Amino acid sequence: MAKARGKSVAQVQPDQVLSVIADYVVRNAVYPVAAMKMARYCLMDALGCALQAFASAECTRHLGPVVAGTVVPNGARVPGTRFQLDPAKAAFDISCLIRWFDFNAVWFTGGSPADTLGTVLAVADYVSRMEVARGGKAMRMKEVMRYLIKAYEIHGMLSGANKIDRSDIGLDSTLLVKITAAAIATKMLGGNRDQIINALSHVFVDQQALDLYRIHPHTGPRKSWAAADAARRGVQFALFSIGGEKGYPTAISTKHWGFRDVQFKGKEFNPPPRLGSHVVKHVQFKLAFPTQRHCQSAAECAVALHPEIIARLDQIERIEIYTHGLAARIVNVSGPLKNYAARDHCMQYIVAVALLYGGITTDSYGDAFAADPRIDALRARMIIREEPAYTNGHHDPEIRSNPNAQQIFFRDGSATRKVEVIYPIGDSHRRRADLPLLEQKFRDNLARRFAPRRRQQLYGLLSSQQRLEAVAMDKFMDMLVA
Amino acid sequence: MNAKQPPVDRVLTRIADYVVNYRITSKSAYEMARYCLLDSLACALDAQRHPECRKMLGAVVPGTTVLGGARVPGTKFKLDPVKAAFDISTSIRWLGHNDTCFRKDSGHPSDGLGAIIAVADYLCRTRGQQRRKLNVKDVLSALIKVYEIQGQLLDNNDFTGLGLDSIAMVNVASSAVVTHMLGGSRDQVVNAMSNAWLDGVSLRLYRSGHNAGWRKAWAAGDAASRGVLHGLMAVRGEPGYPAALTTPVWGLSDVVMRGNPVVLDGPLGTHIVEHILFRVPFPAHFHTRTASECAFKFHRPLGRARRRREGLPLVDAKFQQSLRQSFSARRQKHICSVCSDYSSMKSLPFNRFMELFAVRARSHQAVVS
Repeated sequence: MAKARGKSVAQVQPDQVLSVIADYVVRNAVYPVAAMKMARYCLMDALGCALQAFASAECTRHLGPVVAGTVVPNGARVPGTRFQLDPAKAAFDISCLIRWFDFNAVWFTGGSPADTLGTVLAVADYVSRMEVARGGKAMRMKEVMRYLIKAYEIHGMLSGANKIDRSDIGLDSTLLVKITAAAIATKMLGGNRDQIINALSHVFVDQQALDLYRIHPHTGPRKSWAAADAARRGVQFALFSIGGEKGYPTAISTKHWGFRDVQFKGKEFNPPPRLGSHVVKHVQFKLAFPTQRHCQSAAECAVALHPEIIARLDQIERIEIYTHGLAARIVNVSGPLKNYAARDHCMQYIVAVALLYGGITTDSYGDAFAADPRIDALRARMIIREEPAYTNGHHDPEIRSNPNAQQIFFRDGSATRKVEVIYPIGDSHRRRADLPLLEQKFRDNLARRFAPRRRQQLYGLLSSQQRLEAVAMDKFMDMLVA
Repeated sequence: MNAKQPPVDRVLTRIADYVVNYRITSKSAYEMARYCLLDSLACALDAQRHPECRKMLGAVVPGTTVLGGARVPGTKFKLDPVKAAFDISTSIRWLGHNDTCFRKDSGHPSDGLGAIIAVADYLCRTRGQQRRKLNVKDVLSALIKVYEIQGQLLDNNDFTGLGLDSIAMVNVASSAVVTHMLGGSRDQVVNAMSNAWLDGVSLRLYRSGHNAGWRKAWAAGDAASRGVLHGLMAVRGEPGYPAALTTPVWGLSDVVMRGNPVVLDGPLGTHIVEHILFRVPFPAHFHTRTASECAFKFHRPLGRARRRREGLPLVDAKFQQSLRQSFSARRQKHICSVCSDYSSMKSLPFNRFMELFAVRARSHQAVVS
């Protein structure tokens, strides 16, 4: 794109992706009431997910400073802990907690915009504490939620414009978390447009993690901390940029040496088509079932069929599952599942558990639970079929469904009804009915970590738009110390 | 899809076996390793006189205190081993006159040394369960191995030709050696390394033409700190991805190397350290005389063992010169007496060695030029 030979870097026009994102981040926008309301629900949901993750020792061992006992003055808080950390490690920790059980909000085109929230909270808290220490004022939650809207928007819109984890690219889509984190953190730390572009450009010249750890049979726990790792690097680049590190404005387009040619197989990395507050309003929550996104409706169908089949388990001849094409490729897994990470990305496993128990929780993926021989027996009788109409519905941006249908046939020739779910629980088409479920999920998660009085305080605060928006960031994070 | 367990990549098992099982018997390897250590420290001390370098050093949040943290030579900092590795490797590499090997792809084996030094000092000083007593010889053993792994990987693979920065090999090599230093098993070495490979490889853009920027000077520190991070995770039980390199479509060869396999032929021993190229004499006027000219001029004399006799005194001179600019005369004398030869150095506890180069909090100004 930019012909830069013989020019100083300062004169070079930055790549469009960088400037579009930087322009959006620096813009002082006032968002509609509906967006601010959904930002509050996003915060509620993600914080709940974070509190739930403390049930996993595999998750909590990633938390805290590298060396125990490290004291960081004005460090950012990590909800549910007593830690105060530098903003990069705090972004890692909070993101890791939010993401761990894969129960956080997702976007239609893949990825979880909630992966970016750890950065927003960590940097907002750090900036607020530094400011207070200097005699200034902490950020208000209203402002923090505006950053949340921006972060979700950049992440979701980039995800729609670029498919990174496809087989001919092979990179992990947490690259989008790194991009978002770098841009948002630079702005929050006081950076200007040029500094945001500098930070972003470091993301594009950076090493990009491979998607392999999400691909069966290689699936492993890195998929649960990869987003956190990306957030940490994004914040690091933001800190460097604030410290005066220069950027590489044509990091993407430089011929032969740039991101497009070296990492992206010569394909264009597209800028986000438009940036407003769309993602936060239409984000898809996971409210009932902690599963991979494509399995949400499958779990719901199976739960509906549970009462009809539980007495006739030994008579089942086959289980027919209809799904969209992407699911039929990504989460259609037979054979042994070696760990949690493999199981919560296997549609057959999820359907089997939901049929057997009438529900599915984060406990359903452990080794002991998976040892139940009935699960694999049911998996062996499942047939997954791609339903072309479902595929169209999933891919069509006007429809954006995530459909699944199931029917179970018995040896005597009888069969259950065919249960179909087009939009899963938590989809924006079902908001009115689902928001009480979201609040219930949050209350349940609060109960895992806090005493009744604090639960009530937190629930009360997060239920009131007005009160939440007025509260100071550092005070808010102090309430989450456990 | 069938869920067969993939076999472990041969490159991973070869490196892990070398790290865990190879016993270094070559006396000359240790002798050269000592020079490498002193040369690298000289580079680090020189670099710290530059504000652009100094700005990258220290804790992310000023005022952070780390219990038993690793020291950064030439500074007062005590940091967690991840950031210490960043700082030390960044300092060593900053001016680009640290030791070099010219292979299929060129690189600086001492780029990974920050990871080794940081972890060794941390292990000696930590109050946690990981505490270990390491002496200078233990560190030189780790140095030899980290040089060998990085050098041999550069010897066999061309990253530059693909637009990639071979600095990723610093991440891989240091993750392997650090895991072993932290008490990790062979499997844990494989796990750490596989995660380092899955980090991917950064672009070489920041080293080329008009795009060249400071990142080329701190990319080594960044890679070394990633290696330490993966080492720490592996010994805490983080699993690995045994077929990270060779898995069709999704492995490193196909995703990053455009189908070229990652090759590691030939024996792993002490070759790299014994044939290292030092960038001497100390380029006092390096602004006017480019490092590459120096390298070209002295490649042949110093690249060969039979010319070492002329080259090694220059390494000593470079070391002493850097001490003169950083420390009081008394300290210089003390350091030189301790570091005078291998036999006097080898059994010194490594934390005591690091104390020689630490700046006490009050006299931090000493390193300001």
